Amino acid sequence: MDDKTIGIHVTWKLPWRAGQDGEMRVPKGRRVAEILTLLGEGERTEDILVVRNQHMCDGTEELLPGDRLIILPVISGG
Amino acid sequence: MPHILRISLASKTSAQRELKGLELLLGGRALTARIVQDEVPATCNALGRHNRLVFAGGALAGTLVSSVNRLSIGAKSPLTGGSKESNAGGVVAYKLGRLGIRAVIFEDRLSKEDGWMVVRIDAKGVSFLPAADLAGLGVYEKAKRLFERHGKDAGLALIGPAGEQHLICAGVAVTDPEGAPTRYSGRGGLGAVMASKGILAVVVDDSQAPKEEFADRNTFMALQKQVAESVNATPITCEVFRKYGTASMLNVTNNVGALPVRNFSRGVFERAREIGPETLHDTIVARGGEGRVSHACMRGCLVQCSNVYPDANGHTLVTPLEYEAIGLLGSNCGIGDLDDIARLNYYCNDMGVDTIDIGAAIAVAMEAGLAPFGDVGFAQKVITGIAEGDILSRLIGSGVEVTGKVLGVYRTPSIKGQALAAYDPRAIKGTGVTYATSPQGGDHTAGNTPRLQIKQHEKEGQVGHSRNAQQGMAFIDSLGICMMLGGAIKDQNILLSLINARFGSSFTLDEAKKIAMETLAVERKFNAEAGISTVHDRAPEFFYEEVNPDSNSVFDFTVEELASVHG
Repeated sequence: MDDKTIGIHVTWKLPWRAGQDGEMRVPKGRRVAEILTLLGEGERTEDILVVRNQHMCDGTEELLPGDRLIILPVISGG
Repeated sequence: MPHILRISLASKTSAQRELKGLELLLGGRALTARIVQDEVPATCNALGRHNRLVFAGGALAGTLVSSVNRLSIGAKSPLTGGSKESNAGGVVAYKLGRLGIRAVIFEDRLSKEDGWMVVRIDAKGVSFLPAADLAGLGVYEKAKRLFERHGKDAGLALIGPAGEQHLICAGVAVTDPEGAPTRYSGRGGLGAVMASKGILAVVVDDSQAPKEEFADRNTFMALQKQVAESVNATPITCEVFRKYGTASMLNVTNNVGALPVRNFSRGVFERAREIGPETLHDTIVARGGEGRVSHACMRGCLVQCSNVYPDANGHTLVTPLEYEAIGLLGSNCGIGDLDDIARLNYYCNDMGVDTIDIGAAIAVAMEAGLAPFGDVGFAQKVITGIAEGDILSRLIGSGVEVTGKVLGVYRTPSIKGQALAAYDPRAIKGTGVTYATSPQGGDHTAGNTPRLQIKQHEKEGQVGHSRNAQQGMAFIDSLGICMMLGGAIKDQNILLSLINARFGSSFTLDEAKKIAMETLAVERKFNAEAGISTVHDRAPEFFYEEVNPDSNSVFDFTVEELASVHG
């Protein structure tokens, strides 16, 4: 286990990322807002929400080992 | 040029007035709110002759631009007692637009001697047709008979038994392009207002409508194509809605503790997977037949967030099955089976009642001990019992606030008389502020905020988020466009450019936004005159006192904070 990365769990609720759920390692010290770029969705940040440990966050929080992220599409209506 | 059609029911006459100048920009909620403010005595009985019933499309209604043919229906609400606008998809706004009719005002009421009537609007004018034989029928059978009489291309706005009984949660059903009478102006009891006028249905036939002359057809078509390209290039509209529909919201709410469960006692449902968007999609695909994962409820709509949910044999069970019905008739009643929810949704549609208020009322009845949570049979019985005028059904059909009062339930989720939608105000606080302060009462469509990447369960900034959302929705509603299009429109100027190319006008985005802001003020002014003031801008007490265990939060806004939303 290296000390430059941390393990997090990502659940995808984006149709184009279906079936890609699982554990992954990301660089230590990154903020939640950066995760979409790390995961290859940096160009769609306006269309995506990140839920961290059952709470919507504002993206400024630092990712911590064991974090559980759910990546959701922005829904404009309901 | 578009005009307003005024139908005087007492004399069975009609007149029209052409829109001029800035009026050309008025549509949807902007128009219904102003007509209600100008013509309805605020203290009148909502079911009396002094109320008006107003149908209004937007400035782009009647064209095939994606998602611009919403029908706003407005009146003084018998449910909230205030100014009400509830909009729906379907084909009526499109057909009115093709006939050059921006709005229809129904004033006074038909006489008792007239009995129930159908009002028919076509290129020749307005006619009044006896309809006593349709009374008592469910919405589906009524629509079937009306299509037999008026042809399959007619557009219908009609009411069910709930409206006929003046139940204050009765909605107005609008037919979709395939003729399904299931697009609802469900909120606020507008079906009861329509019934109080003596009208069972409004039939709109645009088959003889003259071809429209656009001021600049080439520019209009180019802009229409641009909107289409944007819808097809935006993930939410081209991938998410077309696959999962509005049910995709359930993944947001259930994951932040905001899904109403067992009368808002929790925010996460243990059977969420069974009623979630992936199960909905997979079930429709697996069953095939008439089922469709995406479907356009309006002509020209490319978002296609609607669906057709089939039974095990592939026959249509209900269309559409959407998030609010899943949340209120499902998890909020402890019901975790999509087939059960679809059936309940079908029965609500057939009786002509609002699924949100009815789902909330059934859950309150369950909390009162009339049945255990999850009792589908009870829910079905009280909904279908409306047809027979069963007294418990009439109670439920009068909505959650009346039900809570009669049954002595403290935990009644209503604001200004209207049930909250499927977002717990403790977990998505911006929407909670909207519920509390919107002139529309507990209504998520007045300014929903779960789309924001913010700490939804915390208080900071939420007053501003709600204010922005309320102003944004007033803008969308005043143009008569669908909120589902919002994500695909990155520059709202395109909407004004379309209007200008249609009419040869030079309206600006600032003018449209000013109209939207004024619309909110007009609604609040009417409400104040009706006795609804900032004192009523509150959430139910239990949301302040009971922690939602799944978001670990309460609704904690002070009177002053809520009063600051509208300044």
